[in-house]
Amino acid sequence: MDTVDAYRRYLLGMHRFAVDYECATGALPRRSAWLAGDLAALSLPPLPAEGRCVPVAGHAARLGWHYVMAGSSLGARRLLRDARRLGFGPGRGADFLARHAEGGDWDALLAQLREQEAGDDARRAGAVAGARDAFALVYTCFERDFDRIPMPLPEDCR
Amino acid sequence: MNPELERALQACASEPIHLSGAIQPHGYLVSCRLPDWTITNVSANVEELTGAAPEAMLRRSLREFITDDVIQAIAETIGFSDPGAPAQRAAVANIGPSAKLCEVSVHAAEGLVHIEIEPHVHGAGDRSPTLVAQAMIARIAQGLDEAGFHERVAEQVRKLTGYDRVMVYRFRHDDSGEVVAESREPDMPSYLGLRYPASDIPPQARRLYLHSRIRVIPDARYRPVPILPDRNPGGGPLDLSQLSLRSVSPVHLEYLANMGVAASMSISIVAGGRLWGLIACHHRTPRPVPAGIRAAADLFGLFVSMRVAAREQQEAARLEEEARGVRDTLAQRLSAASDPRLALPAELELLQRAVPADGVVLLQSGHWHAAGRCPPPERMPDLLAWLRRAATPGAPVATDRCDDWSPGREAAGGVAGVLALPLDPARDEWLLFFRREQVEEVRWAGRPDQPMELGDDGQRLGPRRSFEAWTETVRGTSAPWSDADLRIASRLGLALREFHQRGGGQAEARELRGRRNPLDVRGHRERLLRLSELLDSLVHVDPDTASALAERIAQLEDELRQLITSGDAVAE
Repeated sequence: MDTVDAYRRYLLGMHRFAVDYECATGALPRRSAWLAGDLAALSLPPLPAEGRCVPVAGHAARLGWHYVMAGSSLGARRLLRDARRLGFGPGRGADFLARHAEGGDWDALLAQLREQEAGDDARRAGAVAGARDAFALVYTCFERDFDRIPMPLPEDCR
Repeated sequence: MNPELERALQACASEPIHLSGAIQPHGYLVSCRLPDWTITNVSANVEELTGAAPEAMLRRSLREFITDDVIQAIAETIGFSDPGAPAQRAAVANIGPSAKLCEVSVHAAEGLVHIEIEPHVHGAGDRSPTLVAQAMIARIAQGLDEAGFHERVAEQVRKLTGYDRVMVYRFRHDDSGEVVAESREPDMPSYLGLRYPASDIPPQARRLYLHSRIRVIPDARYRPVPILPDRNPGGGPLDLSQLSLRSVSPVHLEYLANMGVAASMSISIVAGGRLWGLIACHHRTPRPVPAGIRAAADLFGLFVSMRVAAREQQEAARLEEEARGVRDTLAQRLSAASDPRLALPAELELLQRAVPADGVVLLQSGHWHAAGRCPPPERMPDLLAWLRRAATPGAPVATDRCDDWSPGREAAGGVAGVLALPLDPARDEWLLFFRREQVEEVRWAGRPDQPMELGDDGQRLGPRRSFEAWTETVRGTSAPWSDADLRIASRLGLALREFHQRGGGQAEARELRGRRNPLDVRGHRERLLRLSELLDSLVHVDPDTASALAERIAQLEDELRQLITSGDAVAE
């Protein structure tokens, strides 16, 4: 990620994913709230919701969804470095990356997964299906048409 | 039109503007589910108001954040409004840990109660909106012609809002818009008389404006605030149609910026279930419009809508009255004639008064009978060729462009619009009304063929940046035929066909029979006319019902015709 434009796209796609992830898993809107703050800091209107987003049934499937979100916190560490190079940071349009990278989501999730390992095959299959659904959603969120994102005036960027 | 431009216009026309998922930052949104007031959605900025982060508010009860008296006021207001109706002011109250004085308005949609909270703006707007609107209405209530009325409307709204420019914008038949009245600061450029292409206010925006009557953008350079989450309890996108804080399309903000507008407000004018136009307000610097002023503007807008609708109805009634007079006279004269077909050419002057037109031509038995301003008779084959292309059985056909039926503008003899009534299309028998060509100097606000253009990056299409008046000379068109014109013509067509088909050649036998029972026929005709009036009240039926209806009517026509022919056989 080496342009401001790429960072904008990342925020828009990630915000869309976070909102729908929270709706699907029933998680409290922490991540989407951080992302909303970053979008506002960059004067970006969010990508409108599409389709229907229904709660995911089953603990195992939800775990699959959490796996995808928690996994993205690993990537966030690297993205945070990129964002800093572009002039963003905590309080300057990159609250989400800062908090997401530093959170202990991944370790907590690994612990939960280890518990799951002791479970049966059906539960494992449920978790895999949940993760696949979440990945599919990530994909559509980042494949959206960004053409009509207005380029904010320079003073709005920082 | 180049494909990229077309794609951009298409994207604009399909943008779900009511699902923007965000609000403007001059207020806060809290949405709840009844009966327990569980908070389901909040705007991301809500912490400024309540001191509680979104995650600390969602799924909790509103009672933890707002006092019972305010909730009571909200509940009462919701009780009086229908779901899907525009937001209503519910209270002015101190809210949050710092007891900020706020305006609270509410509406219900998708099973949720949407509560919009805006910090109270002191000063203007403290007077009762009803009294303010009443005073404004008194100043436009009487003694003004149409142009004067719209001018006064613009003045009144400018006085109320203090905006730099207030325009009355009217949609034309082709959905382009025209500024028909304006009140402005002397140093603001005038937009009076300018025309705007239909794509400036795309179809979904026009639909939205039918139901949400007033929209305000106090600062067009605002940073949108996302709603958490932007989904309804069913998982679908949250519908923000009636939210006064709704964040608008980024393309629209760019459009305003290109126009040099920093704040805008618009009030819908709705007449006969159709978006007639807008009262559009512009300001060069950000300018808040307090809820009280908005409420007054809303009431005033409702009155303006009613006046516009009443004026349109009066005009339609006048036309209808005149047309009815013509129909009655015509029916009398044709009934008295021994052969209505032969009598018809003598009645052209009368027919011309039935539909507002400059000329009329009767095509009957291969003859061209003309009155008033008409094309030369040599156009007959061209007109018949057009009718064969365009006609749908039994219905009038109309165009306002001479290109449709004439090989050239010169050949059309100064007329452009045609409204054709089928008498007996199988035998090329028609009644044609003509309207003369109006060479019009249209002043567009920017080039209408380039409503969107490439941005500086050379990549993205955005709204045009120049709104300089751009003059286009429009030739080859007439004043358009209105729905009322078509309605009147259809009825005249029904009446005429009845006579026309009776005069097929055995006029005498029919006349004998006609003398035998004229009273019966007149009674039946009365009933049929009443039926046709009934049809008028059915203008809004769905397509399925309409086609079923058309089928039944065709059947009835057939049966009547068969009766007449078999009646002939008996009489002979």
